[in-house]
Amino acid sequence: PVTSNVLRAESTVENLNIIHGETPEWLRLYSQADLKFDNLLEWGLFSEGDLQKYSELMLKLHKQEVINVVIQYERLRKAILREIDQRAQGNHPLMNLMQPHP
Amino acid sequence: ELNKQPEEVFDIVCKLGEGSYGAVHMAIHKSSGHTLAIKKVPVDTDLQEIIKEISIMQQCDSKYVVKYYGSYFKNSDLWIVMEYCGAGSVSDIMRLRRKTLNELEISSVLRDTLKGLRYLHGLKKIHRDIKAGNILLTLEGHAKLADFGVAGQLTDTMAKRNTVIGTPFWMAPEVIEEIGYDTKADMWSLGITSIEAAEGRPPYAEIHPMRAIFMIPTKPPPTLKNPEDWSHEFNDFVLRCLVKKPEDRATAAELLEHPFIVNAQGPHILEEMIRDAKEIAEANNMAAAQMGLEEVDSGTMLRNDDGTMMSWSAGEEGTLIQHPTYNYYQTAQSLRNQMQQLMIGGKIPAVARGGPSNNGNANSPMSHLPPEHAQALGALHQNSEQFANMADRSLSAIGAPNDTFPSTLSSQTVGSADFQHALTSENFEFLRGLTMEELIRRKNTLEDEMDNELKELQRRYQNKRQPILDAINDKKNQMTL
Ligand SMILES: Nc1ncnc2c1ncn2[C@@H]1O[C@H](COP(=O)(O)OP(=O)(O)OP(=O)(O)O)[C@@H](O)[C@H]1O
Ligand SMILES: [Mg+2]
Repeated sequence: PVTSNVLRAESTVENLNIIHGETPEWLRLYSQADLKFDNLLEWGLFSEGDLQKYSELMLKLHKQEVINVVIQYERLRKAILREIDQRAQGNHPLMNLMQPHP
Repeated sequence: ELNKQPEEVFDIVCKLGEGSYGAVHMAIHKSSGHTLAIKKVPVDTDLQEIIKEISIMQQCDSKYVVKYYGSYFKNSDLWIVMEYCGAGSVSDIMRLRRKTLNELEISSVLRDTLKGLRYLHGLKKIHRDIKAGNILLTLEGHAKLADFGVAGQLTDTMAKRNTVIGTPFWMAPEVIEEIGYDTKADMWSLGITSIEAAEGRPPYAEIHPMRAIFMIPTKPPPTLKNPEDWSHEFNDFVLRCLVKKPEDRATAAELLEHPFIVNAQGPHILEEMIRDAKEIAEANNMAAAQMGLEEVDSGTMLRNDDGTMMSWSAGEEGTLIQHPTYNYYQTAQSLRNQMQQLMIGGKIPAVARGGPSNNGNANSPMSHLPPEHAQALGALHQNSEQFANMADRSLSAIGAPNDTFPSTLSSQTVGSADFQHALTSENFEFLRGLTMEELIRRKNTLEDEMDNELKELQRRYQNKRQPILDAINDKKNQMTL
């Protein structure tokens, strides 16, 4: 069963956002785009200060994406556990091993 | 002497251990005969930043902080020369003896550590990496803080070979959430380190480090596992460090007044423990020598035992699929909108189109902008326009142009695709169609799957950041030429 504790943890976790609105959209797009397009960007056109900033923001985007992946897996983990839990409680355990739910 | 090659100045004796940034060696300073420790860190970028940081560290002068003597750049390694602490780190000692510290030992180590922290915090410096592995002991039992400052500067380098987030077990909640932090973050880490010294590992060490990242900000602060085994004073000390709100957390100066610390014994209390560890280390090396092996590489052993580093350093490459994510679509969409807003009458205004060559144009409405700004805008345009087009193409290639995922995916037979789909669409209905066995198998492989995905992310971002870092280097070189 899902305790209120888990629920509270879950909702706080969903709020773990370290990107506080300082990332230009095009940089986000760049971070997501297929590598084969990367040569289209001419980084040399930016100033060193801007480049430094973009490099830091890329690190942040990376971190945020790591966080997102972990959040996704946490949700899946909880869904699996919930499903296992329900079956263990609901039906005869042997039945569950032998046939999937409708 | 700084102009000489480092191997003319030092004799490297042996390897002392290995950490996340590089290996530490024992060395003899040839002209004085002094024993030193040298950390060799492979670096590829931002050397100036690191050197600047080391020069700040060199200015630190406290009995309770490991002294930094200087640095050398040799091939693509940075050599950081520092004071040698003969007994190694507190975590080395625990590992060698297979034994945790008792309360008397803990309080003695903590008192020196607190003095080191009070010194650094007084200079408004944050250590950022307080843990048993970074508290070094001299043979006499004095504890000193090591690795101060390096941690902050090397994260960039580290992002390349390890994981971006690092080992989270010692991190304060506010550090994980990146909501701004100060010297109080070290006090949280000190609380975790106290538990580590008492129990052998920090709280949550048994769970995947990336999952621990979520526990730390969301769960109540950790405490000692068996509070009844410890004095009221020690329990209270931990409690005062592990306070979630940094403003309510104790400072180093305050904790130096804490009864647990006030009643602590001097360094002599550690002598037995240190002697014991030394003997074991020597016996290990003897045994290895007899078997005809090289000296036991304690660094490798460390990494193997403590499990926390596990698959986080680059391991073997699994085959990976690039998964389209919901995010991706949204981002592409939003960029396109942004671009459209910038276009006037279907055309990109000349203002925005100009590259650096346009800067001098007095007719340009942008001429009032600083050239840097105009340049950046031009670059942004050239670039992002192409990216918006490209994004269209690659999205249709992936075949997920709607925000509801195509039914072809979800109707596929149960397999990895279902899981990927479930992950991105948050639809877990399909789980009901699995047998209990399949469910359990899935549950057991989740962490491996996640690790693989994170490794893939690591690779992608490394590739994405490299051109930016290269461009920065080019600019730096242009300036010096
Ligand atoms: N100044 C020193 N004197 C003696 N031994 C040292 C010194 N510095 C480091 N060591 C030894 O080398 C080992 C590796 O140190 P290093 O700082 O590279 O890694 P770490 O502290 O385990 O992790 P991290 O990379 O996160 O700091 C330590 O555990 C310790 O045994
Ligand atoms: Mg260290």
